[in-house]
Amino acid sequence: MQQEKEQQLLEDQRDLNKFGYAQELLRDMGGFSNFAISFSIISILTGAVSLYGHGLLYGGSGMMGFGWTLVALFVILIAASMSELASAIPTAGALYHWAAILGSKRWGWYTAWINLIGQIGIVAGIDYSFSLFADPLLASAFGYTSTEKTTLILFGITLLLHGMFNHIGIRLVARLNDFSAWYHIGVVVILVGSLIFFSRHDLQPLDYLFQVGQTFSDKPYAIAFLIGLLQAQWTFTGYDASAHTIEETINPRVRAAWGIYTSVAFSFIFGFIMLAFVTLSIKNAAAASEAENAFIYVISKALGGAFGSVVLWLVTFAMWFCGLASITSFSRMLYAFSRDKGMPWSHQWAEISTKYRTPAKAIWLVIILSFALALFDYIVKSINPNTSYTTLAFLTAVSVVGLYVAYGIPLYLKLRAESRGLFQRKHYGPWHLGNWSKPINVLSLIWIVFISIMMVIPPNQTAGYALIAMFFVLLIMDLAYYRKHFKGPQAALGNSEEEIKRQEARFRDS
Amino acid sequence: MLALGIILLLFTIGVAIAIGYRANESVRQFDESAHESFIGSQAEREG
Repeated sequence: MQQEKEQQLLEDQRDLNKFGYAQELLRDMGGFSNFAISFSIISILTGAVSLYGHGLLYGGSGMMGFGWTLVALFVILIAASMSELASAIPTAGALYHWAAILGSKRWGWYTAWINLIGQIGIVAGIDYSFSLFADPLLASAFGYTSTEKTTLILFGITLLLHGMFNHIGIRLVARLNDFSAWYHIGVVVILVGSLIFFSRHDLQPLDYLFQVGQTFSDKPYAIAFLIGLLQAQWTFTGYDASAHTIEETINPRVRAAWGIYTSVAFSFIFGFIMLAFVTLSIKNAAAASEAENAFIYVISKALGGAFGSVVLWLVTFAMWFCGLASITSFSRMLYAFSRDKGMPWSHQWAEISTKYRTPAKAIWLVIILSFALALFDYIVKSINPNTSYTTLAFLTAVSVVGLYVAYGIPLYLKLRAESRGLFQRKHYGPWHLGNWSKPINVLSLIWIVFISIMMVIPPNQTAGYALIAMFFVLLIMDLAYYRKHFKGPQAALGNSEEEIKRQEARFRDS
Repeated sequence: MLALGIILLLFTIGVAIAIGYRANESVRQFDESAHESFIGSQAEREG
């Protein structure tokens, strides 16, 4: 068994060396851990719960039946398309590296930065959600008043804690993620079982779940429904984590590909079950949509205030795990991009701690960037307190658009490279879709374009403006410096075998 | 709408299973000797 593992590790190392990279990170994750990191970031208890009120407000109860399933259908196609690429090009840069070698180094550079913007949004969005939930709980426990400022402080402390765990090592984080996956499933089972057996009132008939035409917003239903899709679409983000941790996964060409795909598929199933029973427990949808937290409101009405508090704590812990995993993913992406010198002060972020085998400096950069984004939003709202959007909607919209555009670029480039005869059947990894690949890629791209537009229409236009502003900054950076100086992952191919072995020896000797 | 919703749900589950089945087949039939790592186009590598 041990011999088989060592053989596999050698093969994985050789596969990575083919791309010019040394095995610097600790390769210790199994298939379940790879699945668990993406499943924890998707976190049905984070996205679907914290934006439950958003979905209900705009799309009514039908959002949970139709909205969730419709989004899941297309996300399954996107995940399958990404799994194929992860299997063919198994490096931690993932989206960025795929775009760079399927298109060009500049495609790669833009993909990396767009992915980075989305990742900042997702880390900030998740840990901000955690703080929004945890701060009132802690305020009542310790007798202080929860305000936007205390939420921001708690957000900073949470980021610090996540930074420390990630710094210490992938083994600890992987164990916590494994636990997190079972924890998510366990909470859904407890929640659904309680609603079935202990609800204070009868469940709504099943057709309530698919009832369309009722919105509690001031928008026409069709538009409102599309805005409400943010709930599901934000939930289904971050599954690229399985690809970003690919250099830490044993037999990654198969396991990381399955990790991406199964994390989405199982999140769809468990998320649907949870949303269905919570929605069928609604007694008064209008009141729920107006509540501060619609999800907790529905649970409290159905199972009592005490049970509502328990669920609140359970959900809050799930968000904590989700934030932890998202920082792991983001830091690996930064590390991979920095080793190809795509960032300012790249050599710092590409440095691996010889003690912990983690990209320690990249982890702390992630913490700073995520805090800065939430702080920016806090300042904007302090200057203009009458603003109608919420911080969470801003952060989630930024992350959805950033991540999905970054998911879409390599898919487009793969289709282009195939049509030019550059990317051929022999280049596919073990996990591929054969003849189904092209139509699945095309449908994925259509959905990405559609959803990216939907996520920045009012009331989320601020996210659109922020993304446009960030794109201009990228354009300036590119034209001013990187256009001439960024060599891309192709430059790593120039590393000699001796150089790669020398880099790897540093970690064996430590 | 209930019927439509259930059809959509079953269709999505069907698509997920079909893709999973297709991918599993490809993993089982994978021939390492016929595989070649994709490292980008020659022009891009030289550029």
